[in-house]
Amino acid sequence: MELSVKITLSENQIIEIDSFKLANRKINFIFGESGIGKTLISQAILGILPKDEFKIEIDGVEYAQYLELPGVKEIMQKHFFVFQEPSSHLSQTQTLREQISEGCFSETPRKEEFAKSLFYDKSVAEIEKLLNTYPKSYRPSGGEKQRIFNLMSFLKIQNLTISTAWNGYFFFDEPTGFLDVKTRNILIKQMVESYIIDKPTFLIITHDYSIISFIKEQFSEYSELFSYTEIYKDGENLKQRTFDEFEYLFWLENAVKNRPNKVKQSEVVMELQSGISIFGKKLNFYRNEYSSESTKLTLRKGEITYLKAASGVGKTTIAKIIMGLIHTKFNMNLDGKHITEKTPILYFKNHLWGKKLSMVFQNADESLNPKTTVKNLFNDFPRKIEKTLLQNYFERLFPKYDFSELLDRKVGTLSGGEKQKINLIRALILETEITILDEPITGSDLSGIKQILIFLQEQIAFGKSFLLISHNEDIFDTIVPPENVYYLR
Amino acid sequence: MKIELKARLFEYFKNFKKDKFQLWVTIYLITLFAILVWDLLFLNSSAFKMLSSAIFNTFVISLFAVLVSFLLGIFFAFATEANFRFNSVIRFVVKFLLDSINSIPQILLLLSSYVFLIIFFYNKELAQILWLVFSLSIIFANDFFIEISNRIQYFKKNEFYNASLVLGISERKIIIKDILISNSKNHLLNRIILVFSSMIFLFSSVDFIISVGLSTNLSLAELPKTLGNILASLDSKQDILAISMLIKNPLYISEILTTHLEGISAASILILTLISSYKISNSLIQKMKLY
Repeated sequence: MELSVKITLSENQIIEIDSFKLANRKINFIFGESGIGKTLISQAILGILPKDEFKIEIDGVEYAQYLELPGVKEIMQKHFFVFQEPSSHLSQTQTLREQISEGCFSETPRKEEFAKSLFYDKSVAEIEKLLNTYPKSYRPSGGEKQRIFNLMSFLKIQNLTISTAWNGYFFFDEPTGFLDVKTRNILIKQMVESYIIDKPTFLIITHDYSIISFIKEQFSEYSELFSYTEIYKDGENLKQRTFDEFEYLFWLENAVKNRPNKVKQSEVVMELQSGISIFGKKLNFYRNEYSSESTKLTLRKGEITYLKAASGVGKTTIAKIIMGLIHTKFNMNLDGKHITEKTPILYFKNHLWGKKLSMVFQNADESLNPKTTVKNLFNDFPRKIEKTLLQNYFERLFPKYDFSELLDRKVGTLSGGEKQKINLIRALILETEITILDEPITGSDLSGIKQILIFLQEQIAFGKSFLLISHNEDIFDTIVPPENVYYLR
Repeated sequence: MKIELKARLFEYFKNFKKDKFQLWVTIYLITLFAILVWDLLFLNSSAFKMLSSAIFNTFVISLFAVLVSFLLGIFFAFATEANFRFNSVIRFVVKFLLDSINSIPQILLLLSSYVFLIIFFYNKELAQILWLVFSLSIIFANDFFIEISNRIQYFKKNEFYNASLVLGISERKIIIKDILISNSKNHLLNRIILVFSSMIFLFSSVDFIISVGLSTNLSLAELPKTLGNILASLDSKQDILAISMLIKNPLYISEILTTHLEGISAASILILTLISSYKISNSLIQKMKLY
């Protein structure tokens, strides 16, 4: 499949790609920065974008006409799309079991088998309990919802294989975005196994480059089944190029070799005690994955500390507790001051926020005001930011951009990767002692990731302390010494 | 130059098909202007003077009251939503006051405010107007408070509120600049349009009620001239009743449009303002996707 797609969102926002390629009956991975249009292009091809909302042309044909083409009608009947934000696509008035059993899913075999495999961390009774809940009252976590949607896609694959000889198109938009590495790997394994049996066409849109390492390790004998491409911005238009997976693996291997393996044992800037009670759970820190002896989370000056955990355990919650945004019982020493749940929020406001602590939030799109300009994002800081200092930071993370032009751009027109780099600059330019990084490479492509890693290493060399939270373990293991890794359970 | 103007006008009118907001604003302004020109031509000069000052008073008092209630709404929203500006006692008092105001029907509140007006400000025109503005503003401040609070609460759930807060940015700046100015101006404009029309309706209704004689202590001469009390005058009532003549004699329309203008104009302007505000607000919601 090779198509040209043009989607006019508004007068000033046009997504255009001259040649969007998809290898038939292969597992296609498409990488690239978030927010540049990968999702909309793939939804337009499947015919699931609303006809009247945008002006769409595919291969020079108006969208209404495109939807009437015989091949497209067939695609529309035999496809499944796993949305990247599953919350809005689950019915609130049906139990999860009802939702995976209605319509075409009612007679599908292997339902239990798939569910058990995706919810490997739950007992049969726990899976039963989960499936019998309504999304609204129970509020499944992002990871649970994503697993339910992926489960539906596997059922649909089964369903199409039973009913027709033709296997259809299965598009997964960031199917692993809310999953920890272990669950992600199980999902990928399940995906590949389904593919090998039924051979449909898969399209997986993702920023998680570390999937490549897992595939190379697990499915080296099936390498011809995978296609890796990258979508990038070339001026106003989008282009698609082959992604060299070997170059990525080579870079990763070299980076790990060059990683500093010894920590400096410099002065402690923050200590957080284990045993934090939140949402009916007790959270503890451990020095290794299987250890039973909890410890305190320690941050040292000029070092990066990595907090790892399965999805939904509470990594972001811990970050928000440290920042004083969630109120619960905790004990922390920060720069010589003992901080607990009794410390008034005004202390955080007057002495910590923007002075000793700063944070990069995981959701790049939601962390910035989309209606303002990039320049305005730096206007209201507690201290005046000199233009030369700002330019210095921007040149490190946006080397190919015109600084003045970028400052005048509306935040809403930036890609997800660009937004997250700006979030990073906002948090670092204040030169606080500690910065918490919650998924700092969200939405970035590989070149953006490399720039961010170099930038963080420079900051560490200048004496900055970081607490890192990320599920991109392959990538961050290249800069964090193993001694500075903690596990949250 | 002429061709360019023609092209611009053509483009402007062509836009009506997809931009109903522009269409209804134009309809409102042109019709209002047409009524005034018609009155200037056919209404006697003292009646025209009275009508124009009534329109001016009604609109200016209502606009001023909208502005004051908007500012009160912002203050109330800040007092209850901004975490670092006010302490919990002030929050409780503001919330209690707002709930109390909310529990009383608007018309009762305004009627009782007229009683105060008579007792305290008898024969002091400026004080009367200020009292009117204040009482109208208090009644509608709650509408703005709810709208502004909802916007603040919505964005507080959004990550950019916390992301800005932990960088040491003041909460006041986040709420005013980021939430209200850059992300809520169309919502607030829509609320201003709705409150303005409700304000005119309530103000004119109460004025009408008092003018037709529910109050024995207050006479029309002591209050600023408004569309409500023009409608309540004997002449205007006759003008409106004259419309019934059209059933027997449709040709009487020419008489109505030339000799019964005072009451008909006041009623038309009120109806036009209410319908247009409703349409303008609805089309703004559609245009800016405020749902």
